[in-house]
Amino acid sequence: MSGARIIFPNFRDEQSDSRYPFADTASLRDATGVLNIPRAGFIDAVIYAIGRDLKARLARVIVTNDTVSLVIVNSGNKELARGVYNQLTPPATGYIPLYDNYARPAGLFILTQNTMAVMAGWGVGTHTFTASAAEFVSTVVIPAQEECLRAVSNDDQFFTGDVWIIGGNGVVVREDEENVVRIDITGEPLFKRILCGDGDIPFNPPNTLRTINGCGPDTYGNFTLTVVGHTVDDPVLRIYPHGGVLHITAVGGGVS
Amino acid sequence: MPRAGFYNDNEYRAYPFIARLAYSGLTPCPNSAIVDCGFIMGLDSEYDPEEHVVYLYRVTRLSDTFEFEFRTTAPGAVAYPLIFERAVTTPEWASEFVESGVNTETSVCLTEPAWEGYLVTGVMVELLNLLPGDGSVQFFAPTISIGADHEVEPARIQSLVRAYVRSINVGNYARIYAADCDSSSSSSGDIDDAPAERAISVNATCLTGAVQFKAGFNCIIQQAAYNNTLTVIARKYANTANDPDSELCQYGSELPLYVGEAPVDGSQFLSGGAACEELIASINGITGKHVNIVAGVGVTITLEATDTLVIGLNPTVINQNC
Repeated sequence: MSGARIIFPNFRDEQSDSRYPFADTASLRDATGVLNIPRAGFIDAVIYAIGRDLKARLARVIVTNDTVSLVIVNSGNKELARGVYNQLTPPATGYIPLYDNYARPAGLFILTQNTMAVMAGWGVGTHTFTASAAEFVSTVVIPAQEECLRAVSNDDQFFTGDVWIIGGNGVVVREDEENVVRIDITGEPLFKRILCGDGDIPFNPPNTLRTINGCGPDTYGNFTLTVVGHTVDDPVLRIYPHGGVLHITAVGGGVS
Repeated sequence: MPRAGFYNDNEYRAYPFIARLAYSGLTPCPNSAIVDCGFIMGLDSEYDPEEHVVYLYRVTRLSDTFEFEFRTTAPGAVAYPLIFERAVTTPEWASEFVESGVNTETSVCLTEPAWEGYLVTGVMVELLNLLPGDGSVQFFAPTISIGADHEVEPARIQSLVRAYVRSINVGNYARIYAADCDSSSSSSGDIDDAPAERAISVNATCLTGAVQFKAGFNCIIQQAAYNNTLTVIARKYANTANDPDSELCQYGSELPLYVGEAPVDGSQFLSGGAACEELIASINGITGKHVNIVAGVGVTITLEATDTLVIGLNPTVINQNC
């Protein structure tokens, strides 16, 4: 019907002639003034990058031979998150998830297929937008403050959720008192046996002599075999070490 | 010219659900019933915006109450629907925040809901026509390829996946115990391997709040506030590790891995085995791997069983020598 007007257009259709989710003042033009983000290119967005800034803007569109990256920065020009799509196989839904530098979910863009194609056609390079060119409206930027411990990381790994700290070989990690984690470095008395489990190092349990006839050693680890004469002053039995050998022999007169 | 407000607009369009060109053919939920909603997917929800959706699963009328049941395909929250309740007489723009149940299967430390959300409802007239009495209307369950009739706009969903540390948990590799030499035939050269995969001996779980790391024996912890870094350093004798009265010396340089761990039976050590002073290191001062005992004149030494030497005296031999 010619001239018909849809009073209540669907949400996505309604955005087709607005700058949403960009601010009304956004020029959507890159720093060179040549490239334009299609006015209806971004259908919707949500940005919940963790940080203390409540404002976010699209700062860069980086086009490579096979990908297009959309870089979001805060008011201090610090990168908050980025979304990447493959220009040869763009997502059919137009959903571009955003992730921050630690690969944490940071939001979502919903783009039209046309927009993804247009930006891919800008040519390989980094296309920048000034602060006022592509700022997002506040409603799509959800504050996610750094008020709690967000993650535990080392050089190349990033842990969230229920983080386990495990004492490995030679280290004992314990709760010393309430909410106090104590780290002790003790070494491993049985390190050879542990190494044996990790590789091909053969390990033979040591054979030890602990008692003879139920008797253990003295404090110096020595066990003494001795002859004690109970009934005579000069018993025939002799026990003596000689040449690294323990001799047990009998000497003396004959027995009639 | 006055314009209709956002909620008012939404009473006449699919929002906050995705408007589709084609639907499943099932009875739809009236647009006027739901005018806005939003959801926060929890840390363990496993929500991925490219794969998972949130959708209106069912509306049920129970007497004078409507229940709006939302579900998600996110694996960690799939079994925990969000149910919003409204009286049939609720006026327009009523808003309600609801939390799902706690998915205790994913973590013993979990106390927060698998997901949560808010719902703003509009006029209930059309919904009353759809459900004039008790009953329910179930909408199309989604599949990835088809999508749901009432799939929530993905930009109305915030994900907290990997967003924060919920708790610190502490444990150690399970202790390796000294081999019992009586049970091995090591004389034949058998290899007794320690287990390749060691279990974790849990010490403490679900530490939250202000957690502190404390340096123990032979350990130094350096804290750099400027870059939020803790550095753990091993340093010999740090923190009285050389004190003979210290806990470290109590079990021979071992520490309990969990509360109540005690030495192995027959040993003074947690890992078992003998102490140096419990071993016979020499016999009559003779040391070495093998100590030979030689029988002289008038004496016989015989091996009886595998661990018994019988030393005998033969007086006849002594006589002959005299």
